[in-house]
Amino acid sequence: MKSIQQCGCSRRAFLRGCVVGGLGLAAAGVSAAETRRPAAAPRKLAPVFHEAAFWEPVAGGRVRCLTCPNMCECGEGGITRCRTRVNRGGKLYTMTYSRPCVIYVDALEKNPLYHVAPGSNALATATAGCNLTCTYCQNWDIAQVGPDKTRNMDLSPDALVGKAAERGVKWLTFSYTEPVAYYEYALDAARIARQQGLKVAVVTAGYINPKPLEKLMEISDAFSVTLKGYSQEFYQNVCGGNLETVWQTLRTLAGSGKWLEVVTLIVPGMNDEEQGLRKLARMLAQLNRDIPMHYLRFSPAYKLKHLPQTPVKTLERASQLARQEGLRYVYLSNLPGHSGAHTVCPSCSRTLIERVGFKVLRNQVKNGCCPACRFAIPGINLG
Amino acid sequence: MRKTWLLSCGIVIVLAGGGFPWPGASAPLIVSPVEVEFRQLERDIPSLYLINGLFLSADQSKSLAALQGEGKQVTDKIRLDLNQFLLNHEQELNQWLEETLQAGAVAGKGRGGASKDWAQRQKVRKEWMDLLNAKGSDLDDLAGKTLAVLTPAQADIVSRFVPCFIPPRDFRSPERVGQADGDTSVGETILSRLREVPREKQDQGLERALDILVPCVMKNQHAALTTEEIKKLRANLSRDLDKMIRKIQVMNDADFQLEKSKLVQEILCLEEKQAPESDSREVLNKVKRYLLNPGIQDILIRRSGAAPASDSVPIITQELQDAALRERGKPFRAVGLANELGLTPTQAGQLLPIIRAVVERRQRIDEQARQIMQEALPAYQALVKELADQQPASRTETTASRYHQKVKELFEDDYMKELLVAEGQVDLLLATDQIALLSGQKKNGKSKAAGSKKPNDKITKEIRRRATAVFDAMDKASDADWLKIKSDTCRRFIESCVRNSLIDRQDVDVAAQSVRAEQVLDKAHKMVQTDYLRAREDLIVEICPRRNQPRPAVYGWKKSHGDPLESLNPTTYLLFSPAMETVLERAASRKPGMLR
Repeated sequence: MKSIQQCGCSRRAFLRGCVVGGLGLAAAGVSAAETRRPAAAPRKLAPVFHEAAFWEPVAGGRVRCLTCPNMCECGEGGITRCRTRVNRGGKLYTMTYSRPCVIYVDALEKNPLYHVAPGSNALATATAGCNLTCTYCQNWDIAQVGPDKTRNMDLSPDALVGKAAERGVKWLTFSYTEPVAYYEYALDAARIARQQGLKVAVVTAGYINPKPLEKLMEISDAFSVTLKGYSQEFYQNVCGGNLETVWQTLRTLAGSGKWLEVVTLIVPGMNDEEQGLRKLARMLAQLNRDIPMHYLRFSPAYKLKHLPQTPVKTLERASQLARQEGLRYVYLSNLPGHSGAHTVCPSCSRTLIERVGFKVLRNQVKNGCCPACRFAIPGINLG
Repeated sequence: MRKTWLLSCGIVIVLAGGGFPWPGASAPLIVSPVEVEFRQLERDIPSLYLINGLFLSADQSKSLAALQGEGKQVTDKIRLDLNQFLLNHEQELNQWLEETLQAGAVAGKGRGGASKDWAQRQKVRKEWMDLLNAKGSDLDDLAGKTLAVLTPAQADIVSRFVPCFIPPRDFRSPERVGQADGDTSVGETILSRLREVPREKQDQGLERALDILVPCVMKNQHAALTTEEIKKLRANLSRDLDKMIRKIQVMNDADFQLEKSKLVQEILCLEEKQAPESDSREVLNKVKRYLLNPGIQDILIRRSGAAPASDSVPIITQELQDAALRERGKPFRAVGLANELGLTPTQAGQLLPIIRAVVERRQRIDEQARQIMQEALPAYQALVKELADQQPASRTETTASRYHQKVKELFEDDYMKELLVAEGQVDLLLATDQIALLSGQKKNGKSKAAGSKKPNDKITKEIRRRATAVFDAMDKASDADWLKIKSDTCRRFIESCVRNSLIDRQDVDVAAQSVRAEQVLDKAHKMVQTDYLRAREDLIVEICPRRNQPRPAVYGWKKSHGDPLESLNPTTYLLFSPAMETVLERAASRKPGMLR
């Protein structure tokens, strides 16, 4: 008589529906990733075999990739460590060209880039693959697989830039995975974007050879580089990379005049020693005290699910050390609500840009300066 | 006024030991410490998620803990004052309650009619209201001070905070600490799947999607809908979704990825919500409930670097006292409701078995719930501990969530089912105006959001006035004249009730109700004078029109401190309470006329 069954569902089912729907699913984290990554079964979209930008032939039909320090050598049909390049008939081809698996309009703050057009959106894209193998990878579902395991789109560099223009965004960013893995696609898209008046930001681990980096710098405006840790052991054992190469990238970028921000994700018990963090900050300050340094909180993921989240105190301590070592702009970037996300004038300590998560609440920077003491705040289009 | 007075009394009344001369007052209070602790933890957990999301500095933690301490003092003081008030006025209150029940005040007839000292009652009432208002304004002040402790970014988080027991982990918008509302990820998953569904399975997929999306829409809009309205919503949504499927199936992948969040907002009718002003009532209430929650005071003190006081009274003890206070006040609220409804002894007798059955069922559900709550306590305490360390593990969250869900199902599914069936039975026994009052209907007949705090009793008064006029006409007319005008008078009376939107026309069968009214009048006409005079008030209620069928059930949510709650009128809970059972027992035992 008064039952909701009349409309096709029981009260319990109705409530369950609400729980599933309204409370955001038990796996809300998964569904959040859903927006970045293709769902369920990968749709078979044949790869476009586009010749790799940096490679050389080696004896016996083998080829060597020269894009990153991995310098992968592949025989016929062999695939590079980043899972995106293949030897076909003695030539190295990329399989991710025009095949992004993610495209999204995101705040630049998400990269994080805090000194670049605060509050602006960018068209962000990525393909599958990464040349590092971080065991705590936060985007492992797309970064630690090849393009055959993701659901890809058919989107040429031209079309990609077109999407940005359609949506009126002024920035194109390459993020989520590793642009080095889809270098050729990123390079062409960036070139077209620049021709059309867009600005380009690259979010990378900086594990790249000097020549490809040089070319990438030519057509990019800003870089967000993840410096994974302060020790070679960490780079080698946890990330499968080399610390010195990344420092080399940072030195190159810092000297290039391109905008640079540096990010370190602190994993409890792995790269959270005070001495190491102090050393890292000191070296960065020696490059340039104005490089914004972001510390990120680790959330258990991929192969390090057993670890706890980074204690907030550790992040606060890292921030304190970085300031002590002379860095002027230090951020705790994924602690929404934390005052560590705000931009503070190094001269008069006035809070200039207030942020909550990726949202800019207030920006008081005037003509690139603190309105109180006229101290120049470095960055691009800060306000 | 009397109604407000009685309802106000209901909030506290009687902790002072002696109790009042109320049947069953000497029985032990049914306030379970386990339940109180469980409920307190269910409040502490969202509080901690919020606090953790705010990343308070040590100084802020210290200030907030101090404010919580002040809040606790306010509450303690008011508890003492109320106890003192009750001690001072115990005799009066007891007497008034009994008088109200016995002497006709239940019918609300004549303000102060049954009272010899109305002025004195007004004075006491004012004292009472002043006490309550003082507490409210003191806590509002503290909420304002609390907001001043926060940075603009933190205040922004609080103003947008929509709590749920275990919040989703939204990496896209991490500022949505602990919030369940406005999330589009579920909808995006559904759209992604629908986009891939083969044509032959599209209908099936659509139905499955609707099963999830309909409650989502209702929840997002905080809508309370009847089954008919839900059907309509489902049909509309089905149409929109069908169109959208066709649209997204021809979209290229890139456009779909870029648009899907917007499409979900469109289909779920999600609008970009503006955060309420930080000093709005909604925000102040959230601050009072979640930030000024004394249950997390010790955690904040520890975070500020100090040690919590060891001699403080445990929060559960205080909560237990408050719960007992509320429990003991229920008889007053029950009398207040019965008073407003103007129940006749006959109606009381008819309602009694229905209400008794629900009360018994509720007791069994309470027992079951208490068992689950007892089991849940360690899981909840573990989660609180992890939250205190800012390290909640997903396994602990899942376990706690499971218990939360179990209890929720008991009350929101099992008990609700009982209530809805019983409500349907009650609807056929009461007059339309009484039901309108129960469901908080407005005079224009449109349903107010369920859960309305102040049922509009104007309809009742107006219909009773018209019914009285019918009896007056019968009393004045000669037998012969009455025979001539009887049918017409009854029809006009019923018509007048449904005219002017006093009652929805569709709820009443005018012809059938006119005939029924005639039958009642015939019965009255045949009574001997003394019996007639005694029963006249009851007969007036009896000729008032009845509904054709029970009210449609309403499903949905409303906002209370930001919590999504099952939408059921609070008067329904009160109607099916042990306190009301007692009121009705007393009422039914009286002869006709005695109650009014």
